[in-house]
Amino acid sequence: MASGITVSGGTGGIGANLDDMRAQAKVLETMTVALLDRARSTALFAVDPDLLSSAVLSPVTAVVAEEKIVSATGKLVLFATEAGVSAVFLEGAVVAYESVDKALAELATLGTNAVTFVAGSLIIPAAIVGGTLVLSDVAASYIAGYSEELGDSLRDAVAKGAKNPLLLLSPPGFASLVASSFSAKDANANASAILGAQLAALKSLAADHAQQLNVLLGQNAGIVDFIARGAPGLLTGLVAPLYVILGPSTNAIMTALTGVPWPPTTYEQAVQALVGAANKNGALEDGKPIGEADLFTPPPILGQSVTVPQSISGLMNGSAQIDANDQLDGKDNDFARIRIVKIDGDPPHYIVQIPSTQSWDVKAGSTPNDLTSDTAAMAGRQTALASAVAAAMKKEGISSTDPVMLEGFSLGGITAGSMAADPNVHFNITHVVTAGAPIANFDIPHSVQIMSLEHNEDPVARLDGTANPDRSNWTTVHADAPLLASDNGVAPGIAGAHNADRYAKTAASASVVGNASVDAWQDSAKDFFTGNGTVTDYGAQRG
Amino acid sequence: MRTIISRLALLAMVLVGVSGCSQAPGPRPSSPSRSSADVLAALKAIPGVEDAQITGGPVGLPGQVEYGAGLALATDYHNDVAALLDYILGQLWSQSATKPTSTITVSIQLGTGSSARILELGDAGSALGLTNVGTRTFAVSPAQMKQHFGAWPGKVPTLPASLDSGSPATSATPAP
Repeated sequence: MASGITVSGGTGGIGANLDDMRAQAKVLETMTVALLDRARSTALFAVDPDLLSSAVLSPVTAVVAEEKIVSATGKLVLFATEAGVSAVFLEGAVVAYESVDKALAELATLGTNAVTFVAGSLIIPAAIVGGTLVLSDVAASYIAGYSEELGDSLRDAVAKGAKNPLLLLSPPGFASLVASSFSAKDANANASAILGAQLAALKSLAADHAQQLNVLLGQNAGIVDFIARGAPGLLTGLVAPLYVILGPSTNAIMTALTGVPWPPTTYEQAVQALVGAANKNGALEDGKPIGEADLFTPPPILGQSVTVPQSISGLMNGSAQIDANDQLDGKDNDFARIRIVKIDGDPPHYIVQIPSTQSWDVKAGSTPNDLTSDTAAMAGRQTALASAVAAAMKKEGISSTDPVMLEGFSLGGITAGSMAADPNVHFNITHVVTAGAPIANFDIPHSVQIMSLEHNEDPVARLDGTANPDRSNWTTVHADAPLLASDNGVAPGIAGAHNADRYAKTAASASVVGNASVDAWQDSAKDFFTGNGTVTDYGAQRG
Repeated sequence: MRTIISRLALLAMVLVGVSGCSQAPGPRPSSPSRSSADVLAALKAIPGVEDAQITGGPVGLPGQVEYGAGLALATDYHNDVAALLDYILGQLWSQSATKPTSTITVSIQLGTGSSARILELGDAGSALGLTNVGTRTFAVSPAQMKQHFGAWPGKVPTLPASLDSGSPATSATPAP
């Protein structure tokens, strides 16, 4: 069971409340106009010629009628004024909240980048100082090793001299005794022993404290947000020492090196700069789009149930399954298995499950769900994986009006988010489910119902550097990463929190937590979770 | 000064270790080296096995790697399932290409196609003294594997006589 579940956004979130306030303000505005119209027509009735002429026949009745009309008109105007003022205050409160929120966010980003700029500018000097310290330690170890051997040689020479005192009277004779006893091999062995002992002590320390640090970093994973948000400042700071050497031409050189304007000013530009620099060295090249003709039928999954998901947890289990079954002829992680679940109905609903990163090589390989796809997607570029997903959707026969849910863990979630935000993807994407995916910066339409699961210790989910938007259509579930049976009671920490099986557990816990936003999202997705459907897997490889 | 150096070096080592970057799956020097393709060939050569696949891969950051196999047995398979599981796990543990750090999984079905039935492996695992830690498939932790088979990569197991065709029938019980 996942613990510490909190939910932001969705129908119970702040964004939804602001939407409600804005809607109330609109209602009050409409009411104000209607009341004023009514007051105007009532006032006109008071000066109607027929009413005035009837006053001659019945002056007392006419006076009473006039008083009532004037009173009613006044009340209507009063109500209209109150409604209008309320509308203005409500709208003003919403605008004020959003303005302050935006200003604070911009201020925080500015401050973060100032800090990361300073930190970045210190990295190279710190590395030089650190390297110098390590070299000096190595030198000191060798001096100690050679000194020890020299001491041994002196003692040996003195011992030999005691047997032949005449040798001690002649400096060259004594020196030759020392030299004959001195062994460079032994001196080097002494130095190696000293360095070896230091290294062993460090290894022991690291082994003792690695898990403690793992847990500590997991508890403070917000540092990843900070670094990601400050990525433009960090990169600019990292290059800052070059300005001292190259001057203003540094910007032109870095622009040429990275392929994006330098210095980067946004998160996307920072990622694009990194990818661009890697591309210059032949790394992180995502390759050509994958089309329908490139897809193939993958081998069947053996010994496991392939089921139609009926819950968010079921989606996560499916994600883990398509990630694990991607070998061809014994070649590990050789293709991307894209799963499409057709849910019976009119219209049919489709769940599209996108695999996560299965190769961490900086050079693109056969499978399109790899590190190159990660970086390209985070830089806001079209990816080979996304093109393969779109091709599979076309091959499945999904029309532009059939409701579609895109789902994925990690890279699968990033791809789902980027496709939902891409105006060139012409499918009716109504739902997106992500786990451990940094998608906060994708401009996903308000018509898409989004469910994001994020473990508090998960560094990957924080790589967007900002929290998911608090909007009525975007529900984010935060939870501590739950333990798995295979953990043997050891906390996952920052290294183990990003895990599809853990997210399946978290999803199961979140779905019954009784939160209004989660419940509303599940209700919106109920037509996808009927359990009546068919599963088809598509294989995709780079050409 | 040495304290400072030690701390700097320790920090660097621990950060690399914790981030999982040092655990990236990939070629690992081993003599003799044994690939997934070698293991797959050995699994397919087991009498009664109609199809086999290697499964697994990263389940999160690079330091979390699952490694496993899926097998389809003949519908009338009747050899010792515990011995079969032991042999499969031994084969998986013997490859030197990918170090499993998360779980080692095995899934088996009787028959192929739509009439296939999934074989429950919990009892066979218990008979071997192994605890199933999986949720979707039978899975064993690397710690259990090390205890059972020794350090990774383990020795290449030889096919036990009980898995030769014609051995006496035992417990090939499909999952309910």
